Amino acid sequence: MTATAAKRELAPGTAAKLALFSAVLWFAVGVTFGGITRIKMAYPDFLSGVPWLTFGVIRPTHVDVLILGWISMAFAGAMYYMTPALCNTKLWSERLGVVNIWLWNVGMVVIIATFLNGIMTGIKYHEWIWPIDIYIIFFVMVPLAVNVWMTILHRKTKGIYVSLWFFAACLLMIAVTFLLGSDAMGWTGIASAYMTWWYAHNVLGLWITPVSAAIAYYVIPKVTGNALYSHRIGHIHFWAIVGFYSTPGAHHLMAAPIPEWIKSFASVSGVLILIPALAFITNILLTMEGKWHMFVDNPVVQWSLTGVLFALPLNVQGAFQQTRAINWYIHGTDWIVAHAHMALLGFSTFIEVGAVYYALPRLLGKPLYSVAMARWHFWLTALGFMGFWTSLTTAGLVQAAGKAYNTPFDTVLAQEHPYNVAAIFFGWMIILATWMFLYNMVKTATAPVPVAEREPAAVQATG
Amino acid sequence: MRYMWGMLMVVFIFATAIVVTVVLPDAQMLSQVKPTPQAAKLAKLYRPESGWTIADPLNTGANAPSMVGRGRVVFLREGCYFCHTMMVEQTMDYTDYGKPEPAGWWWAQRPTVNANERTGPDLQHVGTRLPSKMYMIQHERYPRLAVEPDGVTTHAPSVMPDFYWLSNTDLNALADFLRAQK
Repeated sequence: MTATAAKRELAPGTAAKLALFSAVLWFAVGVTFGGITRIKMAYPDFLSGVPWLTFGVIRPTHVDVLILGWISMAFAGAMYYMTPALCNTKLWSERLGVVNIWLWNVGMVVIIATFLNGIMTGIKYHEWIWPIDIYIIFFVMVPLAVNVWMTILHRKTKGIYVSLWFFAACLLMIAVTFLLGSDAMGWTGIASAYMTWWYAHNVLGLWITPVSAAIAYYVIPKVTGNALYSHRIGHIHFWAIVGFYSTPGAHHLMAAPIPEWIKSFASVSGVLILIPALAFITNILLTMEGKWHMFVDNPVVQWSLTGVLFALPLNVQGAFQQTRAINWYIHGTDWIVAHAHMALLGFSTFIEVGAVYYALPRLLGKPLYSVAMARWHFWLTALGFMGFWTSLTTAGLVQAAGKAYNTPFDTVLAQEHPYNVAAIFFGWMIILATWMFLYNMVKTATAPVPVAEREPAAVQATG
Repeated sequence: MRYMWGMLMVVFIFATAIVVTVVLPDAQMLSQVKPTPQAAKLAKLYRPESGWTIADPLNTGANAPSMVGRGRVVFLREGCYFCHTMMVEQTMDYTDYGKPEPAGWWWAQRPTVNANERTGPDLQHVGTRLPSKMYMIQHERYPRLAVEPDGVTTHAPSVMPDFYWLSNTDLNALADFLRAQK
């Protein structure tokens, strides 16, 4: 390779394509780990005696692969795709973006390898050891943030669309949150428990929820052709997220001996999260005006809008279950696991899958390999998720009643067993659908396209 | 310029949130919480830093100053805290699991694993409830087969993983760690 060839610019969209493909791969890997934990919850002797497949090591692998590998990497892909589009310019550095995603993938492999060998910190959602923390900050977060910020600074548009407000601000806030929650900070005692949850909930509040919303703010107006209903409501959403969603971590510790005032503070700001949530849902649903047929016709709208609609039960449930009146009853049960799946699978993942269906065919310049498979993917995931949520919520209520009435633990476990079996069935529906999604995307990338169809119009027709 | 002010506003609000929800409560907890007698004793038995270290990259607990400390490393390494809380939470718990503890009970622990899911029973006072080391080890190895010291009770519906493949030292250490939770 000559020097000029080495300096050759990468095609626009390379980083976004790589990020979205890698994200879909980690999605499939992550849910499969989750599927194994689900089987073990009902049949604990399944794969028993394999040290690297014990429940205690694959559970964090499931969660962290999906948060860091699927959701966050899909966010990165969406940012690499949407930021240049909204700034009417090229990505600041396509090469930096590609390097960023490859280093990210290497990080994911290291994380899975360390977790399966039990090399973990014991801090929830931050189980990776502190050297990996440093790796994530310098090779995952900083390059992504610099690339997005520099693209926004070099924009050729006059204003800044609300999605970019979220991208730019969330990248800053998540980095600070991540650092403060790190094992390297050396929190001890009850402060360590508090900081674990401060970090864990802010990942949802300052990263997963707002960036998912920002993606919906881009995709829904773009696909429907309607302008966003109100940029002003978008701003209310943004400032309410920054104001109220950086504070509610203490609601995970309502029964712990931490200062009472911080519990009350967290609880009140937890209810106030309804403001950004309702602003967001209202804004998107009103944007759909006159285009509701696309909810049925168009896979991208179908995915994104289902995600937005799940945000309503999610936020109403979340706002009230964290108050003292309800929290004492359902705390520590499968109810919470169901709620977490509503947030990460129901709300966030549906919007990101919509973004992948929107962006990947456009980036590849090819039509989707199989629209039928995309339909199967949607219905298996949607029905699978609803069944999964219902079984886990019911199991959670059984556990909660057992807790409240001092029922012996063995009785509770026997009573919740049928719901855990149901959760396996519904969970594996989602896993099957996800591998189908990966297959569909790989086929879309590799399938030869007839010359006649290599037109942007053919791409538009799919999504 | 307008956007610069916006960005500064984000930084200002977020910084305020950090002062209110990180600096103030943590300063209060770190300065006012005094160790309970048991916590002071256990802190010497755990490593000063129970998290991952370069000296023990595989989380074996080999450098821990005691079997109790090594047991804590095993507890974290095998992810026991995903199903067992280490915190008696509310009124009903007091009859099942024992009295609630002040914040000093977790003094100097790093990290503190106390409030997650409760798929299995709470372990805050497990050493008081189940003092038998022989039962503890049997239960770690085969949770569904182990017979409690009364000679009758077993836990057939338990969904705890078998840990028969752990080394004898690890099993012993874990039992010592759990029996120290009083």
